[in-house]
Amino acid sequence: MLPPLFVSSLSKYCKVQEMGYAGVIANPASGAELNMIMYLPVTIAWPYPVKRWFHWTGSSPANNVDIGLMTRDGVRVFSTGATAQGTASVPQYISGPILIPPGEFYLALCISNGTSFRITASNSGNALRQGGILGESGTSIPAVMTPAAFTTAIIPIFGFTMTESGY
Amino acid sequence: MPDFPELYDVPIAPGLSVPGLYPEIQVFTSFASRAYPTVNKGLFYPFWLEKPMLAQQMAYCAGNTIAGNVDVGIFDIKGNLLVSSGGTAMAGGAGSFQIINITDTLLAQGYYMKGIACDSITATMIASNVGPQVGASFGFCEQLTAYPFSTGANPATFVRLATSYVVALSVNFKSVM
Repeated sequence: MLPPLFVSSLSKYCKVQEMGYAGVIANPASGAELNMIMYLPVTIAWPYPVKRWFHWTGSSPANNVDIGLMTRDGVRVFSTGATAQGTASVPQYISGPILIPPGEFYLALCISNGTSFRITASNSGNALRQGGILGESGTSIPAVMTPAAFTTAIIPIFGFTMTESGY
Repeated sequence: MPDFPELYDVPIAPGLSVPGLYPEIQVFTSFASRAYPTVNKGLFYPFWLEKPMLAQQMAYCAGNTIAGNVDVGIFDIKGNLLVSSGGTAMAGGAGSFQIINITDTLLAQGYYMKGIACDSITATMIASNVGPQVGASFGFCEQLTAYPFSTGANPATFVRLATSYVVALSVNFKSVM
């Protein structure tokens, strides 16, 4: 089976349709996700050859972003490491080749400051909690997660791709 | 025939449409009649095949206003044009289904882009106005001047989608649809 070119927080592989999104793509504003690590359940059905990780910056990118993947049990498989946020309002790509085996994982993101493009969820984010999203305070993705309740209603746009360049 | 027996048949629908391949888009906005965003702009959407298939038709649905000419085509993932219809006038009444014949083209297993370009912003199509942040996160692309594909986008120079416009475009593997 061939995998899609992109897997992101907006993909059906992240259960986006089950999470009660309000259908709003918010303008970047103050970062409610500041110093919060978020863990989104993602199911990977194929061996996936990741070439790059990406995150949509907001209008005021600042400090660092860290993107990664955790096992279902909360152990870090990969993270890009804290990376300075780049140009405003574009997808920022970070090289990080890795072959992900099929399985159930958490897609992880940590933004230590600034803003990002995000989706606003309905029901004050409770639908996200019902969908299994977890959170944790921190400034980078840890080796082992210590998850807590997810306390915001926003989901940044981030994920990974098998494309090596472009787009 | 492959050298080794396939362990199972990989099902592929007789048509691959953008809403079918990317149902997530409809979480954010619905498909409706919307005016084409920019004259001659090309819009491109990735699709992939698990096994060789014969592309025979492409299709989209007109919106409320019929106008202009439309080119549809299939590109490899690098942007090289494999087949296109050539400019074809929108026809029929409001909301009419536009089936566009293309030269039957055998596509190997792999990744492709299906593209559409229109020379009129009066023309309307059934499209989503989902933001480019969403479309680009699925690999959707565009090219500012692509119409007609035979000369405007060969090879296409794809860039990340920057337009809030996603057409319900399909590639079909049947002669009748």
